[in-house]
Amino acid sequence: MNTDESYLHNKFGNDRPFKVPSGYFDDFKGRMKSMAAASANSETQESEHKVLPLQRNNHNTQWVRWAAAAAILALVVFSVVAIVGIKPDGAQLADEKPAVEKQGDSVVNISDANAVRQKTGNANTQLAMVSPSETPVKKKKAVTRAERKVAAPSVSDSVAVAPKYYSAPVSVSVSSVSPSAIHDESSDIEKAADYMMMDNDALYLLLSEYE
Amino acid sequence: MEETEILRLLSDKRTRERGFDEIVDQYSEKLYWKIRSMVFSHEDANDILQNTFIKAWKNIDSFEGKSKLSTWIYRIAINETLDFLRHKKSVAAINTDGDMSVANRLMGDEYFDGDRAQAILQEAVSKLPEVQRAVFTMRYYDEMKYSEMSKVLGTSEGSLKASYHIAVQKITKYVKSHDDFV
Repeated sequence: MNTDESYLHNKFGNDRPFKVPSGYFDDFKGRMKSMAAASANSETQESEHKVLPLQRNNHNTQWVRWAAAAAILALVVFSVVAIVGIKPDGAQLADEKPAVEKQGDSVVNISDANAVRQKTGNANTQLAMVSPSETPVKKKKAVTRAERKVAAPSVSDSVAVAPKYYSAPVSVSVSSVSPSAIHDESSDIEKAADYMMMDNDALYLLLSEYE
Repeated sequence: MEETEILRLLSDKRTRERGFDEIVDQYSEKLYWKIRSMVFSHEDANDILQNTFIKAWKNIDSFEGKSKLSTWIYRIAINETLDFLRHKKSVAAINTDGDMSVANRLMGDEYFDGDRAQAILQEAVSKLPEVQRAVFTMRYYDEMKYSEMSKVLGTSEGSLKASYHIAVQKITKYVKSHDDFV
């Protein structure tokens, strides 16, 4: 103990110069105990009525999000393809293969002249889908001698010329005709050529070959 | 009741309330006088003591038993007191209306049990910085060991000794300067 500390102790002692209201500590202890009891009761009530927050299970819902995203993406792609695909496009039409459809015994691609020759006389009835953008040579139909006469359309024997995408197919029936009737009825030839989407000269050339 | 027995009661939720009652019984007076030595006013000491026990009750789950129960609750009380003093100091710096000296206020306090010389001593204590005030009161009035004070305040023993020595010097100088009143 140094001199300063000794000075203070000698002069003032080490007793606190304070007092408290009578019964203060008893009151205080009682107050604190009741406070603790009330707090314990409130904690018990809170635990009894505890609200549990809903837990989001991200793991289980993760695949749903991906599936929804994939579905939306597929829908967008499909829509774009559909919208772009139905637009009239000359270049696209030119690249299209002529559709060939069979009605009867055989199928012939009318754009192939050799096939026309091979099939001439063998097939009685033929039906082909022809694109209007094809050249006249490619539009040669497989026509038999009996089919040179253009007659009224029939259900069984028909050539369906289908302008693709933007017009309804046109059906032309070819039935048995005689060559002389063709020369005499030039208007019918023109009509037939028109139906078959061929030049008159090409049709004449084709008919003369078969004669 | 032994501290181990109190800890056993506190560890069980069903007996926790009884354990807390034991803490209040054992420590309320000791804590009160420690606090009162620093704040002088009974009302302030009462408020701080009450806050101390409320904080202890709320944080009783966080008591890990690494330190003694007494150290833990002393630390809460001292921290509450230091917070109070800092707040009071900041308010006093703004509000200059209450310019009355500590000694004069104590002389008018019905719960002050001392003479003018004691009031001057308390006024000298009030001039110390907060932590130095805590060190002085714990050592001078309670004769607390520096090792114990070190655990409560979280400061090294060397710095506590130095702090106490400086505090005693300041108080002695102040008292001697007011020797006319003493």
